[in-house]
Amino acid sequence: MTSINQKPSNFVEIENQFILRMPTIKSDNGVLRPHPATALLRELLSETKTNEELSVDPLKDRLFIELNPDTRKGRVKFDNEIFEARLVDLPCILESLKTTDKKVFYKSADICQMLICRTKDDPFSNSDNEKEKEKNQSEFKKFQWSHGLAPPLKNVRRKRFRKTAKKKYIDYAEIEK
Amino acid sequence: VNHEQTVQNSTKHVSSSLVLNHSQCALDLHPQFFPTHLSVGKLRNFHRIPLRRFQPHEINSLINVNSLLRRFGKIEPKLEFPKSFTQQPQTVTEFNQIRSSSDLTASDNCHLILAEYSEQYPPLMMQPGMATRIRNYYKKKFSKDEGPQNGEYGELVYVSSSPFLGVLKPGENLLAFENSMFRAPIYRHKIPEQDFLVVKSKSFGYVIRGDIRNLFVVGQECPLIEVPGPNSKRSNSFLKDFLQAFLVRLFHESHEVPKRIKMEDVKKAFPTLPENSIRKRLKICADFKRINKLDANWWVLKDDIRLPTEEEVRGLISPEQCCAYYSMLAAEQRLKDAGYGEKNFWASDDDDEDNSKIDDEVKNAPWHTTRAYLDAIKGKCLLQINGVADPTGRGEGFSYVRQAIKNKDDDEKEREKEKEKEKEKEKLNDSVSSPQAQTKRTVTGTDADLRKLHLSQAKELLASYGVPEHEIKKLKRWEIIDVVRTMSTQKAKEGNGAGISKFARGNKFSQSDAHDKFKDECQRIFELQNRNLASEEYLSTDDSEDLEEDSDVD
Repeated sequence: MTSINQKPSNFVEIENQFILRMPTIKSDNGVLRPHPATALLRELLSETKTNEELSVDPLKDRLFIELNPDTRKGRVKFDNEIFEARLVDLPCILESLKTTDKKVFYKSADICQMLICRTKDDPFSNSDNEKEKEKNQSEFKKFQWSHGLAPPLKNVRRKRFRKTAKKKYIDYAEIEK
Repeated sequence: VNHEQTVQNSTKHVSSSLVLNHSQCALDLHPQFFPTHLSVGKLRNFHRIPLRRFQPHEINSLINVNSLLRRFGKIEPKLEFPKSFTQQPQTVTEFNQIRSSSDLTASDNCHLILAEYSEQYPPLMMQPGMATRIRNYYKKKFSKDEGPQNGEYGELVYVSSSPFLGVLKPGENLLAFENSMFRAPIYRHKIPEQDFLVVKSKSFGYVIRGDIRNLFVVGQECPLIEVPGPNSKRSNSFLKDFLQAFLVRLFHESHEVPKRIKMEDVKKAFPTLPENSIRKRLKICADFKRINKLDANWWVLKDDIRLPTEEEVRGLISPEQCCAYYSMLAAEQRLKDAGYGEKNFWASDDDDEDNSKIDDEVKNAPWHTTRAYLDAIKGKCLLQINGVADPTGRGEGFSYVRQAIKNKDDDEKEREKEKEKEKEKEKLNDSVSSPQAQTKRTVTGTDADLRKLHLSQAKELLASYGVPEHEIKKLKRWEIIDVVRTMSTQKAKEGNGAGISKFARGNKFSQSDAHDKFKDECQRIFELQNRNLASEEYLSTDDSEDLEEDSDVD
């Protein structure tokens, strides 16, 4: 953004917001379910709301994020578990809005990316077939998440976004810069 | 023009007495929230700007993530915005004390929701700091109906006629985002169990929230304002005002006496504007001076110029206008990237035939779709509904493209053709003299000829049909004639138009038929969208695809 040299009083830091998606694991019957860490994390966070005696952050020295925005790779450490993570672009514009009365809402920020965690031994990724597929994907497409967060926006890129009719050959490398 | 009234009535919404106030930084058009210039990169990632502002020490090292507790020590049960946030300041002093942009943070204890737009490129998007309300539209089943029980979000509004393109059935409710730019149905969902919101800021590091559970899917927008076209009069004059507002604020920020600013700062903020036009603007209120040799060139405010106040600047341009302008820039960039030249950016409005020659992508541009939608609401045209501008690309959204209606010229041509036919028939009739020919009479030269109908007579006719006088006064001659024809046709169809049926033109493609079809299609898409976007079912019919897509994650 181009802006004039802001005086300190006028300068505000615009927050970055993103979604952290904790990993899923495959149960014995083959159904995907949230990793147990998810429930624990949620419990800890809800404590901050319910337990008035609490004065020390229950997350202190327990949850860590490591992120490299250039490679889009990262790690999430929760207690003794370390999850591999990848920063992907969400397909839909997602905004956060805050309210005091649930009637009027103020836009806080656009949320455009999601940090997806997975366990190291996630059976999902280990098939050779899939690795092969991934190799063939362009670096760009690899980080384009296909799904919105809400159920009806599953596969939204493919199913709900109308395709743009390109007029002529486009230099994609240029666009993706 | 009967249908115009119907459309108008059906889209009239219950106006609220509450004024929707944006946060202070939006009202101020704070340059960080309302940039004066968007780079090509920013336009390509319009409202999809990746995470940024990483400090070197943040990269490739484990950073502790905190809960809200870390920041506040103790969490208050409920956060209230400071009054300044939601109320307009009463006095200038009050205004100066308010710097509420930090109130926009998500890392406090406020109630937060997420909104996910189902359109890839919604025609109008809010900038941070702008406000929207949620309304809960409800169609009563009976007069004492107390409304839906699921009213956690939004103010309840009883609808008699729908503010959407389709109508609600009695007992049905629909939530909607509503602000000064658009109205859009929203559908409540739960944020997936594994998903958390993380806020990253320089001041507070990483803060994670586990209490955000509500996710609203935003359906197709019903625009309430028009997006200006590239290089249109409207967008050029907006840019002028934007520059003006910027200059005034820049002068305000100068603490020198007399106040002075630098051309470089202006050029940096408006790199697309030629220096000439900036200079022209500045000359009105400032003099170019070399103050001292070190930092030479300044534009110094003239003595006799009174700088407009903040309030006056606010009146110059609104946050909504900025958003519309940004939307235009982003769409223009998309078209350029897709290989469309500047010459093709405009579809002609007047000549519907030309419409078909315009590229579909261009019809999709927000300056076309918003215009078409608003024209349709005003009753100036019908929309295609199914077609190229449907943002879903698969018939689940509305295509905001003007329907090519037979316009007056076409009518004339058709009439000419009919006349020819009549003449030919007359020739035949001369020889055969069939009585049937009498029924297919020509109107030309008779008192049924609409073109010869006097304006005063036409007005009387309309009055006799029960059209209110103030409505008639608004209409031009051709519009009045149009109403006479439509209503006569309708009356004739109903079989009670004894003396007036001579103005009925039943043998043409009837506008009211087209309108009925339009309404039906609107209703169908309206219901389809409501059903699809409200659905909680995580369709697993295409699991094979998912596998492929999911492999994106490693």
